[in-house]
Amino acid sequence: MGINNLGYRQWRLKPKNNSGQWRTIASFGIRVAWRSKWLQRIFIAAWIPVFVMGFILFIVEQSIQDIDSNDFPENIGRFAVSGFVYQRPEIRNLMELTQISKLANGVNDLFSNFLESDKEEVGNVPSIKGARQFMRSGIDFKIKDLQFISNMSEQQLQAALIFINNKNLNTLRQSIQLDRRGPPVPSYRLSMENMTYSQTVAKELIDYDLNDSEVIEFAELVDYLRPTLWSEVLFLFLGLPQAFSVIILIGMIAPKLISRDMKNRSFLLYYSRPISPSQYLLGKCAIVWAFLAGLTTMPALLLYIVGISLSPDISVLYVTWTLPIKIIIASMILCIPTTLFALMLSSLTRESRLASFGWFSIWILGQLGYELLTWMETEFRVNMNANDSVNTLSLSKSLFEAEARQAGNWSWLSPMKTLENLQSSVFGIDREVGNIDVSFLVVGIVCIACLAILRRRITSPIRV
Amino acid sequence: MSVPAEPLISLQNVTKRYGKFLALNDITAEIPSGVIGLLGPNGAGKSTLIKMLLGLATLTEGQARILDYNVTPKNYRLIRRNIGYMPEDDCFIEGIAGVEMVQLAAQLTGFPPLHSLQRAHEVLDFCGTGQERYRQVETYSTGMRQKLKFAQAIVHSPQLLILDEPTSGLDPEERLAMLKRIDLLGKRTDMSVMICTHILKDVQQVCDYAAVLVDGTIPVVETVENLRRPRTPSYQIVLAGNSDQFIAIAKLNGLTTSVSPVGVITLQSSDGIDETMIWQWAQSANVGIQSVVPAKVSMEDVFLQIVQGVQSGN
Repeated sequence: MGINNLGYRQWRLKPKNNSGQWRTIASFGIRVAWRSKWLQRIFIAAWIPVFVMGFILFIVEQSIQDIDSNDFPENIGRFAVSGFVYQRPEIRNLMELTQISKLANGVNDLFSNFLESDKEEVGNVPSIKGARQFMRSGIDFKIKDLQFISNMSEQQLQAALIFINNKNLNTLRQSIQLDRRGPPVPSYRLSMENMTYSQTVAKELIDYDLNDSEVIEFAELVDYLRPTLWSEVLFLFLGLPQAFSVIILIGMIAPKLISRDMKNRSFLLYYSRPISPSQYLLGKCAIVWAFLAGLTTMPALLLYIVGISLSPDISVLYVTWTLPIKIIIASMILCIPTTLFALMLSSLTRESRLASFGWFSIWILGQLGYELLTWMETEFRVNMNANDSVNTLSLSKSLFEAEARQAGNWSWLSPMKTLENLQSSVFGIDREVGNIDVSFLVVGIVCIACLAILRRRITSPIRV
Repeated sequence: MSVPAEPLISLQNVTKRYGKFLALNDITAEIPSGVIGLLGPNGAGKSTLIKMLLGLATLTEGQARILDYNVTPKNYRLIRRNIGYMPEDDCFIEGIAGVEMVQLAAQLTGFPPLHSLQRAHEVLDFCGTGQERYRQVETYSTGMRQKLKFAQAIVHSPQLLILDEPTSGLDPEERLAMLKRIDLLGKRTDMSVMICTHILKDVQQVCDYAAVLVDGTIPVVETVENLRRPRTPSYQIVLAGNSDQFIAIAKLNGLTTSVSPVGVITLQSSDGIDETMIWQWAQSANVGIQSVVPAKVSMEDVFLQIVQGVQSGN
């Protein structure tokens, strides 16, 4: 006989009249899911990248501190940070545009010297430095070059766009032909938006001349780009290791959540209590979100805190304070559509194995579909081009493939690419593949459709 | 119909259709508080009526009232908070232990976690569930699941307990224990109990009232006592000794008599029987009386009479 065996006594405690029953469903669901040893292992393994990324942030910050050092090994930091800075599209654009500015100034000087022959100085037409040279010495911009860019008209920007695009394509052709090694070569076509953004960056940099030296030195440039560098690390974290963990984790948890309730007719037990279908759904979503928050939001926030803590300069907090908000929004973008989709699959069947199979199939088939259609597009472009120039066929194929990938006309087919696009947009690091509006539209439609199906499926037991 | 002033459930022209199928057909009835047996053949609409009262199925037409609440979406939460429901279906929440399932039920009703856990243990003790409460629900036998469903239904001390086939799947010993619990709840607490069952003996054993649902209508809501009373007043007598002379005297006084194979004498008279006369006739016949009780009709007979009456249009 149990120690609590009191026979039957009436319970005089009054129940709370609130709407928090979803929390009860969530807490029990989390407890049940956490009993899986495999889930525990995956969860713990998913935290490993936090430390790797934290170390990268530490290296970045240390490098920024030693950016002007000429001593070894401190000057390695300049090389590392230059790599980060150099791969930013807006900086590369500025470098190209400043060369145009320098060229214009050089021509002016040349003509001036020619007219005023008594001057000793000879007109100087600059040569464009190579990428390796930039990475060794760092990058700097003269204020007058930046002013030249900020004063460029739309027509001038348009002309510069064509010039840079042609130049990039030529470089890419050479790189493919020569199996070139070294820093990345732009393998995409710039858009007018990129140019306008670069012009905005130029205007902002003019105000960033902290020591009034009329030059934006490399240290100042790095300081300006610091939030972007942090965003890149966090995007990399959320985009690569965590996205895979999220897919696996959701595949383990979500398919069981509704299908098992349907199989075991648990709906009768839930709905005979004072809860609504919305609370039931919210509770089920919260189970998945709790794990995903532990896998994405919390590690990313911890990473940010670790980065701040290890940073030798507290000013980093001032320039990166928006990142926690971006982390939360990016996590929501990753978690909400994926959770709704997985639960929708779960609600369609009584066999959770089928829902799991459907979940992983969608990711794999989506990626395969994207790859296949991109390949077909490349082949189409190559064939179209072959009619014009048969000789350049073998050379152009890689170029067309690179262009097709960057155009990203089929990226909406791949859930991974679509979510990456949205996260990139949130972090503002310009890594989108294809049209960002299409990504928003696809995710929006998927969310609404999943909600509608879920609503219908979970209310079916009480819709008689 | 002898129904108390304050009905537990009040139905006015309640109709429920599933497409063209008429599940509940213009029911108007008042069901009193107490222990009520809801009887009916398969497909009569019992489960539909229960689901409708819980807000799990919508009314097509009419009005229903339960525990002083109109059955409308606005009141569903209040109604469900005050009702405990034990479904007939084999339903459970996979992956959790028995005690957790009962705790979950209490928490979903709005009680805090710690109190819910304590209460879950209390009701599981009351239901005779031992250490198996710590096992996962999916490993339970049918009988254990029945007890668990019963425990989750009573965990929040509801005003009305609706039990759908509570004794199905139970062995005789457990069945008696379950009926004893229902009887205790109905008789010694403020709780009203509605039992939806095919096992008429259960109704006969524990119910105060019976409501019979036939072809989507409720033709009868009556006390079990009244239902079981024969139309012609009758007594069943067991005598100690030779009964021939006693039977002869009874016949002389205008009573109809019959004797069962086991010797039980049934006396019937449309004019009524005075019990003291039976004792006088026994004295005259010089036989002792072992027992004399008013004769009762079995619930099976009552049920069949009602069903056949409705189906034949009487």
